Amino acid sequence: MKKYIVILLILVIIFNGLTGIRELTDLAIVKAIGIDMSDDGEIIFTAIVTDTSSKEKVNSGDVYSSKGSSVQEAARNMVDISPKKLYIAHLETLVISEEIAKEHLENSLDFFIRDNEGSNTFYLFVANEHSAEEIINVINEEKVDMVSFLESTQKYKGDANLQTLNDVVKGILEDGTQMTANSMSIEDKKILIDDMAYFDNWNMKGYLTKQESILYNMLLNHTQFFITSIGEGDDLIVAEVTSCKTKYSINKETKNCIDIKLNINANITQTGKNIKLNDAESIESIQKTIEEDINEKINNFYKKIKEEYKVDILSLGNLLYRKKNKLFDNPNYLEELDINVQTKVKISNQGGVKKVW
Amino acid sequence: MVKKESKQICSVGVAFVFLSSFLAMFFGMGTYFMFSISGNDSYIAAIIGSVLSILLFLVFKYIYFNNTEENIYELTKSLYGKKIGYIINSFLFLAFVIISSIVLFNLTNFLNVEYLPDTNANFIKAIILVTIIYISSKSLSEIVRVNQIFSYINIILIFIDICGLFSKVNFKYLEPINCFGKSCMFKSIGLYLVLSIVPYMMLLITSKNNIIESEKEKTSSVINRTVILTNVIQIVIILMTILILGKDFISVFRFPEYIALKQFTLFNILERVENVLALNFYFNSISFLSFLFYYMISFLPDLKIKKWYSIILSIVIVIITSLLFHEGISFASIASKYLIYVILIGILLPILLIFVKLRISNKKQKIS
Repeated sequence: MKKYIVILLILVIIFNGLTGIRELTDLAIVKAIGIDMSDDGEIIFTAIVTDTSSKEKVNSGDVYSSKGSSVQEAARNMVDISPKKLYIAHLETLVISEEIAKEHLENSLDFFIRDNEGSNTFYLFVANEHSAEEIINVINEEKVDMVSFLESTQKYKGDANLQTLNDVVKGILEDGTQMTANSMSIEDKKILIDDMAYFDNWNMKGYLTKQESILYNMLLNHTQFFITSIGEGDDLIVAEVTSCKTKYSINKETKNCIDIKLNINANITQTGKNIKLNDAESIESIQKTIEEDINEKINNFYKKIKEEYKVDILSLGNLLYRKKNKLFDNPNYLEELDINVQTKVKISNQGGVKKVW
Repeated sequence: MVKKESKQICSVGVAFVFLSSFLAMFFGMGTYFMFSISGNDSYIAAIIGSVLSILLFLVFKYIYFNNTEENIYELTKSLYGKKIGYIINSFLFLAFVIISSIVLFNLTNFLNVEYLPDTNANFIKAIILVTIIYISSKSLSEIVRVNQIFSYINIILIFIDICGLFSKVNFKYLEPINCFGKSCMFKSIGLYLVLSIVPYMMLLITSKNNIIESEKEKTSSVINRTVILTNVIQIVIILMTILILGKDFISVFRFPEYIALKQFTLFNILERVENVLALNFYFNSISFLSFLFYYMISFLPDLKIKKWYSIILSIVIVIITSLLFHEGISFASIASKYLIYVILIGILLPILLIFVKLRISNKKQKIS
């Protein structure tokens, strides 16, 4: 019997094992992909294929572009210009054009969600005022390490976040949540991480401003560090937020109000000449000023979300849904929903400087 | 394949029989069905279902410890006579054939979708079945030992999984509680209960006569502990999948447990190792199929072609899977509809008949 098993094993290997083999050297390892839509409705697929032969070219490779009626077809058509089949398991960045983001996102992302090789842990960007192909070309020419670039922006500026494709899709699928995505543009032939795009289900609606992007990331605990400036000239206070934790709860008295509590630790990094930091009282007063400023900014931001954007990007509806609040049954719940922001700022470091001048 | 004489088995080996069977029965099937019925409430259904299933397990345990025959088929014949016994055993046999087909297709589908999308599914089935044929050609003690090794690896891998996935857990995914309604919850509990019958049935693959004499006393407590451990592991798997993916994302995928594994990261160093960690899914299914094959071969008469039984059975199962199931999503809808009836009629009904008769005859013996 053993000999039959051996024969069977050999047959299995002969008939199949070697035909599906893909050597490492035969893989076109893709680092970044851009997706545009042409005027005739075809998908333009642009990819940076990493040059694995050179250690010096870690962050660059060759850019290939192809067309097709679907993302899959366009990707497959790349075989016409590149002999290797694309391997997207190591994909780091996916850039989609505004047109795709506005009208064809669902169909385009389906390819990546279904793909069994990747883990969907790459970052999604909307190409702001440029085509995805242009952005991909600049990324390659400038040898930009997009992951480090995005991480630095998220860490030090707070106007971008590290949501992967999985997070974005979860945002779309979850009840009472709308998604956002980072955007990219080109300035002086350099890549720039731009304002965040916001969506209504699968359709992009517009962009948040820089300030709003920071507030959004702060409110959703996507960022810990950012800089906030209050006043100007001699009354200027610049604070660097070093930690920020936001908590949500439904107001127990009025069920159509959500309490947002922010606990912020900040360092004072710059002050105008009218700002004194000499005693506990002055520090307390500055803390209060920052608290009021952040409260006002959040309230204004929420007012804009309610009246202008009309999209629940703060996932307040999700909280109502999770807590089985009846207000969520109303499709226009956002119009009736209010927020009550309570910010607590603690200045833990004034730079170790007593202002005597 | 000729079965050799059954050697003695240790108590842990017996207990681990249903650990791998349980996990194989739920991976891509039980959990998938439960998630589609009760979404993020599935963990509650699993907790309640596990308590009820442990109660149901007492029936199997009673039969196990009161079986003086070599296996369950012999016991049925001794209780009901040759003719009725044969009919009852046929029910069991047919149920095992169908369950084997379902488990084989499920494993093939998993490997086909996640690992080998360009490979013909029949080749994957062949590779799996070659392993099964080889394992089932051995004696019961060797099959149990193979399973024991797999089980230890499983437990280690599951522990690593939990460590590496804990940072990705989001407790907000547990809310809202009971959003699918009571009827869905009951359905899900029922599903858990019914699916747990098959792994518990694997316990009866052995009889207490096979256990090493010195370990007979502690067998009962080892089995009890393993049943609890198995249910706890299954609840943790369901809970972790919900906490990582959330109810909306779970419903997107055919194998949500594997997708949750893709999020694995240990100290930000060890990443993208889901294919290694998912080995336990493979091991469980292989062990489970080996037991099912052993069961099926035990039923068949002792003819000259006995050595070919495992190969014939493999061919039959491949034909059944090819006829019944074509791809993963349709498989899931067919399996979720009919698997419950197969288990209830093919396994639970015979087991209850055996249990009732055994109890009556035991009482009579006591009285006399």
